[in-house]
Amino acid sequence: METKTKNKDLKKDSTKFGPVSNTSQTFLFRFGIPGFENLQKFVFQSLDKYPPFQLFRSVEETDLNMLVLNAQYIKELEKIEIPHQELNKIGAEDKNQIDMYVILRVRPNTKQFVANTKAPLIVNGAQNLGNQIMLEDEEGLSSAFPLAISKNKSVKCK
Amino acid sequence: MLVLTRKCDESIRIGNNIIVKVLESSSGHVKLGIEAPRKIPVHREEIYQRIQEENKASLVPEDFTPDILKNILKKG
Repeated sequence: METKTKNKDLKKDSTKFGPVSNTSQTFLFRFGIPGFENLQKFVFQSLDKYPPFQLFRSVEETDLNMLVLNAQYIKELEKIEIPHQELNKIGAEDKNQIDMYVILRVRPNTKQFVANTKAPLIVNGAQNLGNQIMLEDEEGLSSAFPLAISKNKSVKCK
Repeated sequence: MLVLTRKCDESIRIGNNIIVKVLESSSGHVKLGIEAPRKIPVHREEIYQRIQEENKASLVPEDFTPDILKNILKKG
């Protein structure tokens, strides 16, 4: 298995989040994720001081770090149906067997955080399998959902 | 690029177990049916490319400091 990405978009020497812990649960993404198809092993790392945000990190390429948020904080994703074939790909039978995360990014200029609710990550903790799915036909989702924080400190999409 | 001409209801086979069938063709649109093993991802190309770009744009930048998250949480 190839252990080093050749992707030129990755930045070098970004070790501010420390080494990927060997004790973390490692998820196998058989086909990688779009844009990083040659990377297959990922972990979720809590940002202790900044819950509920987490890091999605490549085990094979330590420069690949993404901010993610559990989809339970995203109202628009509460009732979406995940195609059965997508659940099957990670060894799950229904939605209750998986966790879902949205990838966050900062909009240039505005510094506003947005969530990609159209392409969430799903993982099956029992089988250590994960996949990034595409919910193109679902209404009310966006590749750039503005994040807002409710008064009780829970994160919501606007 | 291999170019093949197909009519409605005709198919092409890719490898042993992937079949792409022309179901309908009208007004510049082609409806395709795809039979492939479940483990093989099948996506519309433009959507896959968009997610590639979004994922690359989502890499935590070198100048990122987690404190920015604290500021966001304070806005509540």
